[in-house]
Amino acid sequence: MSDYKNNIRNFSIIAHIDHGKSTLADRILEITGAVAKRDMTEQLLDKMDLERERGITIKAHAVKLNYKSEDGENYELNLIDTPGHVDFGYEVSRSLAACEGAVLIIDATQGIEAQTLANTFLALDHDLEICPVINKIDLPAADPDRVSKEIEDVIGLDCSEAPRVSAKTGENVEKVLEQIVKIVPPPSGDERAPLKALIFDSIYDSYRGVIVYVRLMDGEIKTGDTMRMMATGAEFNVVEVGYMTANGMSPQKKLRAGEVGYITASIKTVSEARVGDTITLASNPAAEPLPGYRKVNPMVFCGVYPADGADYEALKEALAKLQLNDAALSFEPETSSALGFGFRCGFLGLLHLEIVQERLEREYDLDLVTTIPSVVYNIHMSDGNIIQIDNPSNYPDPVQISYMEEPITDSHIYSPPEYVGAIMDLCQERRGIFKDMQYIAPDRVDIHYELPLNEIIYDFFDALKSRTRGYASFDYEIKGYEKSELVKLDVLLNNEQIDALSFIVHADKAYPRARKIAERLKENIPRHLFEIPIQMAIGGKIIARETVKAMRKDVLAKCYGGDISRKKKLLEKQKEGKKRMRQFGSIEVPQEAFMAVLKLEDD
Amino acid sequence: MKMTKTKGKMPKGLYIHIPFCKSFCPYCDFFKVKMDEELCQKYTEAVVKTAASYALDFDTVYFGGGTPSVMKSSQIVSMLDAVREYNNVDSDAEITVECNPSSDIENFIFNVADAGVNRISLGMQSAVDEERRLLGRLADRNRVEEVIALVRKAGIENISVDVMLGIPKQTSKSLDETLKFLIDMGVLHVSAYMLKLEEGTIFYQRQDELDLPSEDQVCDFYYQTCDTLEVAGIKQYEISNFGLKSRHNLKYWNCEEYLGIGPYAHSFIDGKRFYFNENLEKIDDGIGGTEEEKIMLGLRLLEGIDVSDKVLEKTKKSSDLREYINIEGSHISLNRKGFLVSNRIISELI
Repeated sequence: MSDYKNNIRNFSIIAHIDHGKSTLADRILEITGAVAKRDMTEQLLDKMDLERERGITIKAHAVKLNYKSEDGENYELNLIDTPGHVDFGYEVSRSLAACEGAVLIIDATQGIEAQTLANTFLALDHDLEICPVINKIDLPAADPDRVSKEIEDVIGLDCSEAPRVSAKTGENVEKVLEQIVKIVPPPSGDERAPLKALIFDSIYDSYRGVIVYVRLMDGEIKTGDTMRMMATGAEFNVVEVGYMTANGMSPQKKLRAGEVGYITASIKTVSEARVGDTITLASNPAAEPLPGYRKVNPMVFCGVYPADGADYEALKEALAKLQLNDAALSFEPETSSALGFGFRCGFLGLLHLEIVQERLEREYDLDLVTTIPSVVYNIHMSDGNIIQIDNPSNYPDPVQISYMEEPITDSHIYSPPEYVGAIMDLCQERRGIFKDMQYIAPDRVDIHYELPLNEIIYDFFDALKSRTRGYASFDYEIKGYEKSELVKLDVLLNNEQIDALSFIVHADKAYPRARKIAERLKENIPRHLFEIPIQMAIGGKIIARETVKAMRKDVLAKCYGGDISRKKKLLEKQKEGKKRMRQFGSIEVPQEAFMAVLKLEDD
Repeated sequence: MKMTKTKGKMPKGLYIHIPFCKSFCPYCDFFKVKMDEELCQKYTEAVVKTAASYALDFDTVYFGGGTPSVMKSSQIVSMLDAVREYNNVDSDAEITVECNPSSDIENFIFNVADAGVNRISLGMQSAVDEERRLLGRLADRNRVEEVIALVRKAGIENISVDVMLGIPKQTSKSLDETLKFLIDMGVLHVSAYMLKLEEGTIFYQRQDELDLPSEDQVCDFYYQTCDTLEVAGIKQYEISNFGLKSRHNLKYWNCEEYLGIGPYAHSFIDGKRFYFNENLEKIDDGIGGTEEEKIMLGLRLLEGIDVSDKVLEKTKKSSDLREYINIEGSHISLNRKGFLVSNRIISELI
């Protein structure tokens, strides 16, 4: 009897944003008949609106497809979609660990980009077989020969067999499936061994609790089993196991080694089913978990406050709900004298922050004020203690500080050579230390810098994009902590310190940034009935100053024909506008002012 | 429907809206339609009918627009007659008609004067021809002079002229020319409004090409207007009004009652505010005469208002307001500087 595993292929798709991953996935679903053409919403795998809008996959997804190959055999293809952004590197690595192969999509008009390369090397690290695919051959600017050569030169993959496709028109897409069957090896593993199932994603469903997406490496799992999370030790009774199909969940009697599927077990939050953890059976546990698990720690922190204090409870509930589905999100209550009651939230990176903020505003209809993001600093005190702070409010009295350390990244920027100058200028401005530069292809340079994380979290992506007209791509990982000259910069409005606007910055950057922020605040704080001094200070020392002049005119000159409702409406609008302001003593600061200090790059 | 007469109560104001214009001014977002003779006649009949459905005491009547002077004088007169027939209009009532000096209005003025109109409000806006042209006003300065003489000849001394501040190309010098003109003409009343760019108007859409004075300049123009008129004896009594007080307009600011006839003419009757839309459906606009309203409207007057202890407390507490408000006992009023930021101040107080 032939092994059922021989006809299984587990693969993921690696691609840069906009290189056509979701479109190719859609075509594959169509060809395998998983979804009728008329039922296709464009890009089925990106389920969240936000994902579709931004063109990036935030959560991993998986789908099982049946494919009858040219060799006459029926294959079970499990497509495991990976998140496509630098903030989610760990999740990508877990998705890849669940596969034996990966389809690498390269845009025939653009070539290799930073994240593609980083993820490809990640896939090679996991011993995945790579099937290169050259996409967008329908475009006039497509140059598949050049791109093939680039892949061969840079990654060392043989591209002679690489399908050249147009995911948009569907041309040659079936060749991709043939390549998967041919190149990707079937899973190994022993269904009689103790269960080892890798969690590569988990999502919260309000009816079923957490749905855990797993790849079984060894063993079997079925309804009624008692399963154990090896990292946390938590145990759950299995309610249901099954496959994810394009049409929804398909319950099965059991899942076996080599297969990809889902488990439900009345798990209440995704933090109990962490990505990368290994599931085993309580009755016959595996001796060792699968390698590679780590608890993801937030790297970027900021205060999140409801614009209207009355929404505090709603915000708390919304964050708790998001956390059900996002184990990387952390939050704890925080109070600011300027902003009232809110939460200190932790994120994987700035994109993660933006996504959470947008979801809170859109899905939960909340108006938010967020403070300047901060990284975690190590402060070595003169008494030998080390404290970690992620909030400038906790910055100790400077006289007690011996020295400080900040997180440093290893950053790679991939770009056409003509932008090297602009990129180096940018990295230099951001306190980068140049490491090396390599031509990975005649028209593609890998520029390696060490950049402080706190320089990346302010608008670095935006700046990079605008200076390279969108051609450069960027990838980073945390290298460690290094000693650094850091100071806390305070903002005073009308001589009162606004705690929510304080931030920590490198001493060399303090003056220019202080000037810039003062300017931005001046532009964004409306005129009041009195003059408002804006001051930037380090300790007690004022290092920059601007003034918002007193308002001179705000009057409705005419009351037309006794129509006082016009005037009433105007005053109501003014009152409404006031609600969107933050009151600091007698000063009203619009939320835009908070946002404006985050975006320092000139337009 | 005929209502019972309400004798003995405070007489009300009557506003009759004439929504027709021969041409539309590029800054106006008021309800108006293109002048059409047949429509004017129908409209007259409708106003007559409406006036006949009320039985109120009036001591002011105001024909505003639009452009009342595009109507035939006989139409204005028949509206006025209907008002008098079915309502009680005081013998010394102030009866105003707004006129556009651009059109040929000689006969019009004589006829309405004969019918008892005793106040004319002229939409001049500027005495500088170039500025007037940019506002879409066709008459030149000489024509305005002629019309003022005409109005006097018809026996009407109470002449009010509208002036606009902050219009395209205006300078301190050109404004001075306009103000001097008014003073030389000896008009008794001036309304000086600051141009506001209303959404949907041509001015709003093309504000960048208009060469508008800056906000600071407009503030200076305002003070210049107040000062110049005061020296000439035309004393400010309201944010935008100077000289011999308009009894009709004072009703708005004093929270007294008035009836408005015509689309988007607003009424305040028996404590309720309402208006009619262009389909003549009555739209409820809430309760009138509240303390909020009294503050909002009363602070437009130089003399100010008496306020409750609560509001007085608020006023005294805020150090930001000190340089804008005068307080005497429980009476508060705004100074000129306060007038210019009155929206802000009022929203602090209510």
